Amino acid sequence: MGTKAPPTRTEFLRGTLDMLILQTLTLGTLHGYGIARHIQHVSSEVLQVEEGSLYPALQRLLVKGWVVAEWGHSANNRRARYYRLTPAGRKQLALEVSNFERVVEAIGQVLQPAEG
Amino acid sequence: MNKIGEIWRRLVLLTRREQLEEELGEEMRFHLEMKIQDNIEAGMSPSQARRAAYLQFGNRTLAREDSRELWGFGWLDRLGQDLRFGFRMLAKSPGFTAVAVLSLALGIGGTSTIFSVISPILLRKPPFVKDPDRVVLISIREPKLESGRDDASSWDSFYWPKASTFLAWREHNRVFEQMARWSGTSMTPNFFRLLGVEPILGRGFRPEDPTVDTAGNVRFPIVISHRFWQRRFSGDPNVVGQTLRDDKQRVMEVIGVMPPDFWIKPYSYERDYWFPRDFSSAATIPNWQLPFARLKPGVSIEQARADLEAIARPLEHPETAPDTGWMVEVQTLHESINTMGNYARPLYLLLGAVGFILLIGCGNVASLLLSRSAARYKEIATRAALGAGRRRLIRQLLTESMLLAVLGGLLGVLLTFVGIKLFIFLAPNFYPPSHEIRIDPTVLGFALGISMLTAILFGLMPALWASRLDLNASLKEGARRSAAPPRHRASSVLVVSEVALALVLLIGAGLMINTFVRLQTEDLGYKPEGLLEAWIQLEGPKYSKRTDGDTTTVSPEGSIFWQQLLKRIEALPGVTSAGTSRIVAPRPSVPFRIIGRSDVTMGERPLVGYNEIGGDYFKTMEIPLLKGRVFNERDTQGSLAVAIISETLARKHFPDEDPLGKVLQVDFQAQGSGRSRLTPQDPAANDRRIIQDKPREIVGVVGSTTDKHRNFDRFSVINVPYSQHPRVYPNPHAHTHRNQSLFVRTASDPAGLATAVREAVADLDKNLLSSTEIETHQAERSSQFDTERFWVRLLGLFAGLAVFLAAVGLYGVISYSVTRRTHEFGLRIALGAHRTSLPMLVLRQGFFLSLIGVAIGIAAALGLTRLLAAQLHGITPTDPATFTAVSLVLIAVTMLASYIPARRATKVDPMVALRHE
Repeated sequence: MGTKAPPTRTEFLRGTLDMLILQTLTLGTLHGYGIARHIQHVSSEVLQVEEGSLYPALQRLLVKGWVVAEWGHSANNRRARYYRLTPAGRKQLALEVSNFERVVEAIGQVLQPAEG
Repeated sequence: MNKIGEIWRRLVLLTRREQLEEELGEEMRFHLEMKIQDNIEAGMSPSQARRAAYLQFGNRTLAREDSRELWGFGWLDRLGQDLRFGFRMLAKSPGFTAVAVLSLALGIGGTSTIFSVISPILLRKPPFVKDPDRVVLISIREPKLESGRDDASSWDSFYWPKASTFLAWREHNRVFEQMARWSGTSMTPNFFRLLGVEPILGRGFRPEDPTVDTAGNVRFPIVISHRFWQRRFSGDPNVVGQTLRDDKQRVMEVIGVMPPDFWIKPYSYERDYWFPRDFSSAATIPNWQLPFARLKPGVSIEQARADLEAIARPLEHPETAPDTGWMVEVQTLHESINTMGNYARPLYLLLGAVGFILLIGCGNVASLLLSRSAARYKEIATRAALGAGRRRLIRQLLTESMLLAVLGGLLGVLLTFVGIKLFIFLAPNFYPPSHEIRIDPTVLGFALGISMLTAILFGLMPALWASRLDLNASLKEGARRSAAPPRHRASSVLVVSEVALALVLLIGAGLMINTFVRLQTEDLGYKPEGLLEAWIQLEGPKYSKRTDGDTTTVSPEGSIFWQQLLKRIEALPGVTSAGTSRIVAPRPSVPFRIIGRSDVTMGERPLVGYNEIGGDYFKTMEIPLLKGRVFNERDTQGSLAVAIISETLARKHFPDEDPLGKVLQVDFQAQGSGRSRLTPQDPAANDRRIIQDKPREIVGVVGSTTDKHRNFDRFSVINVPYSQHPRVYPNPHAHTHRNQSLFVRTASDPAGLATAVREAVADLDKNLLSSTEIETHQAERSSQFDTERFWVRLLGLFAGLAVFLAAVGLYGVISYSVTRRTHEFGLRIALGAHRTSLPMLVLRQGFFLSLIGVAIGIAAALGLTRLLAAQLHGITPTDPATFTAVSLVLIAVTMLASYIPARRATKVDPMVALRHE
């Protein structure tokens, strides 16, 4: 039975995870493992994502039409699915980034007095 | 735009489920392998690398499920899942499923069948009539006659106004746009216009059209029905102007075709054509024609009534009896159809009966669901413990109940189709005709709604408990009875009501069956078996002529015809004897007096039935001669006028003396069969309209006869020899003479003689053949019981269904109770109780429930069977014998229903039952 993970965590992660994936794909076509590696790498292992949750997220992006997938061959000549950003995905990324920045800015403003 | 793309992509994904699963799996495997490889390269041991990779990846199943949810339409998937599960659950307990579905289906099917049949009568206004609320029918109503007038208690209490009154109304009223009369095939030329219906082809009648009764008329116009147009003319568009001939060789010219739904039932069965009749003078308006009118806009029924009554008051006054307080009745066409045909009441009864079935069906489903939910108590608890949310549980249970309801509904719709066919089969002569019966969607929807509601409501019960239940306790002690679901007082109440409802129906059916048997075996005063009956009308100028407007003179030809016919019939092989009479049990319709006794006015004279008989009539009918002699060939026009009276008359009017030798005399009145006691004020006209028969001496007394149409009342009857008939009759009474029934008693099967009788009639007068009907008397009699047969069949069917359903309901409850008490039974056995004593415990419970149900049922039936009173014969609606017998039958059935599960109690293995502790 499809019981979901506790919503608070998922909801937060889902949004950010989508954004991170889309951002990652701006670099070019990547397979799932590549995306996971990249996110971990650039976030200096700060963002501890359960790698498994990457795949439902990718499916969601596929359904939304923000990415497209194609089967190809990896460097070691294994069959792998490669994801590519669509123009719609690019637009969505811009939207999410700007939303995110606004939130961050707002949080920053709230936190400043306490720090200062 | 984006949304549409998304839906499209989902739909595409939906079609490639397996491929997607596989690809996702491959992708994840690839991920893990890459990770392991990287980990090894980073210096981990292979097993370490593997562990770390899997750890980091997280819950693979969850990832898969989350993905899966994205591919489909989440709720749709879950619905499919619930449905599959629901079907599995239903299939797991086929008995439960079958009974629940059947209960619902029978309730739904029954209710919508009956309603579909009766809604054309009760609800629909005549579809073709313009402003139907303004079309009214006018009659004259009066209280029932005083019983001081001999045997008159069963008379109708209304009649159609006289022609003169009608004409006065037409002239002077201020409330109608127009008035018309109509009956069967003939009508005033304006009748169609009054209804507001136009022919679809050609034109309607005009006042200047020649009418059927214009003197010497050999050509008149007709408007034909749509069906006749199709049948006879194959829908020929050029039908207008074509001609047909009637039985008198007159030319009937088609001038119009009515629309297909044109309908004047139940006043008339389907007609092929209609023609105009002359209604300009009182002389030509037949009394049986129904007076219709169209109200002016804004005029109320009451205003119309008052206006008509003011006009009629001086005209319609009783001539032969004191004014009994008659009044004019104005009814809308629609309303009048219900009261006229007397259709509404019995149909409401049927609807009530079938409503009971729906209730019992719903009660059944409810109690079954309740009982079953008990069995699933642990299952639900387990599901809840495993993390199924309350909402999810409710959705699951709801799906199951809905599934039941939908299955029941579908079967119910199917049953409606079958039911309507069955109804037509059971009640072939029932109005409305079969082609007008259609499934009524409103009622079908209503019945479906009710049963769905029941299923949902009671299906949800376990989910509601589940939400209240203490998970921990119920799992720990799940098997223990302490955690068992509450006892259901609700389902006991349901079963008790079911038994009560079933008993009411069963009592109704019992009363009808009782009535039916009584009707069939009622003593009629003659022997109806082994008789052939030929109904012959002496038509044409050879036998009688209208003397003037009011009287008819008969010729001796009639007597000659009957004599010759009887002679031929008696000569036929197989014929024991033969005789003729107007009717077996004539209604009291002519006033008479006993000569030599002090006379009273005409209006106060007692009424008797008048019958002219010929041949060996009494011997043929096996009517006993109690005193004196029967008629013989010496009783002729020239000899002493004689009469034979019925026992009833003898007892009533000669209680202490010998009637033989006494002299009586009857009077024939012009204004019909005594039904109308109203004639104009002109006394001269009165005299002319009354014809005195000659005084007759009583020479014999015979047993009284009766039949079902007479409600088995035995009337006072004066029998006179056909050969001594009066020469002149007022018009209506001429029928008494012209139309006779020939009765033939045969040694073998009477039906075999029909052809020979027909040939004999044809030999004497070929023209009479067209109006001669021959049938065995039994067959004719059998058709008299059509109504009762219909009631017996339908109520019997309903009662059977109800009892079956109620028994099933009881079975369910008892069965549940046995399951619930398994532990207790085990304990009892372990403590030394005898196995055979256990079923008694259960049976006692069943007996108790059914007894309460029967008690309530009897109380309800005492109030309700009154409604059946009109359909009963020979027993009261509260007949104690029927009530007792039926109650016992029902108790026996319910005991059987509880015995089956009760037996299970003996099979309880104490070890198994107690091991749960």
